[in-house]
Amino acid sequence: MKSIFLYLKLILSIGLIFFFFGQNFLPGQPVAQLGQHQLVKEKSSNESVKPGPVNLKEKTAILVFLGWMWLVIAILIYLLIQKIREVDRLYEIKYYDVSSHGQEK
Amino acid sequence: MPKQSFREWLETRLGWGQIVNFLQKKEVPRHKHTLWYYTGSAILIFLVIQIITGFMLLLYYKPTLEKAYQSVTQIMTEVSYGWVIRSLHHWSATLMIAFVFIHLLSLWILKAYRPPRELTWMSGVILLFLTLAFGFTGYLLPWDELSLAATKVGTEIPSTIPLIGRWVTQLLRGGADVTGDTLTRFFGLHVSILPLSLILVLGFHLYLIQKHGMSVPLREEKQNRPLPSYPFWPNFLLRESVFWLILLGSLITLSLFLPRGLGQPADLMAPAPVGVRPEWYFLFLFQTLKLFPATILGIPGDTIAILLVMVAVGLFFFLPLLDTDPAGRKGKVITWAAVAFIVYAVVMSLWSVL
Repeated sequence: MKSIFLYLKLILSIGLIFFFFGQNFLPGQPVAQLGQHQLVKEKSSNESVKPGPVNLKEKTAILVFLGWMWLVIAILIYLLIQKIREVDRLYEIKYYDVSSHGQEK
Repeated sequence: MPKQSFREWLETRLGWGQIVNFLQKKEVPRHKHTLWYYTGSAILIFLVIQIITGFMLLLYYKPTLEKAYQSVTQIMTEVSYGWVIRSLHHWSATLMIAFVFIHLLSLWILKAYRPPRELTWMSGVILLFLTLAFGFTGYLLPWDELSLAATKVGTEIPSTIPLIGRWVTQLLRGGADVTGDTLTRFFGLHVSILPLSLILVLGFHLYLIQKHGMSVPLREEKQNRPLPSYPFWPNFLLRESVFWLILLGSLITLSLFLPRGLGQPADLMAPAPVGVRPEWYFLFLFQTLKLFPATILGIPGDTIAILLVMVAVGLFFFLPLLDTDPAGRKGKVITWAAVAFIVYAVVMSLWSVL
């Protein structure tokens, strides 16, 4: 059970990092296609470069990503709460007093 | 040679079992104000994000008069997710400063600076000013018209200090006015001098926290009974992890929904644009300085204002030495001074915006 939680957390965390950054933010690698990403040039307004999604597809992608991210966070928090309950119980039964010398039970 | 697991191999070389043992033995007091302990680690989390995103931005940013604005535009328009990275850098800085304020104010109200933690408080105040210096120097780097105007106003303020004021302003600007030299100077401060200073002071601050342990609120201490506690690792750290996840989610959400924009390029010859305001954390100070009349009893109002601010900063820094009777009447006055400061800062900031 403990290792399942560990693997789940690992997979979800790696997924979060890769989904978000992908292979796109590579140092020294400008994007080939200009305008593919969030760019709106507004010469008339106070803000000359306004970042953000430019079309519905990009806006949807961001919303989907955020939804997924918060779902992952909710799952991780649930797993952490379970873990906290477990370690609190172990502390109450003085488990760490025995294991503090580097040997776990 | 006996077969070793990778964990054992690392343990033999690094001895991290000792660190785990140390963290398990380190006790965190449990009381109704334990929540405020989380604010310290939140600052560290945002600092790590600042360092990572700062390095990423550094790959493309060029700190020269001709190329600074152009390179920030490139980050935001040509580099994949460059606008997200810049936005993350901006929002993590904002949240870091907010948490530094929350952390210090909560410690002020809980009187965590009581002996022997005077130096912990003082190093924390230095860290606050280093963080503000990060914000101030970083604000100029995009080199747009608002950042130029705000830096002109910001670097002009020290010039009202008697005797050394003009020299301080010239030192900050690298000349009489804000120019490309100021940009290079601020960049140097932002990426080398301030980070080095921060690491040194932070190391000292963390050492003191380890040495003296976490402070217990005065009310709990007065009850003369042993407080319940739990080990730092894993019980406290796992609880903090929940908080970190929420902060990380909030940071990414803010960065995607409210990305940091870029104004018109800075023009050294152009007049200051209308409605120039500093970042939110300087607003209360900005509004305070605006309220002072041109002269008071023949002395420039700006000079009196800046001297009063310096006295207030001095009192804030030496607070542990001033609060000699935390449980008594003097201590209560100092606690109410914290509440009054919060109300004042909020009202002044809102006044400046509205």
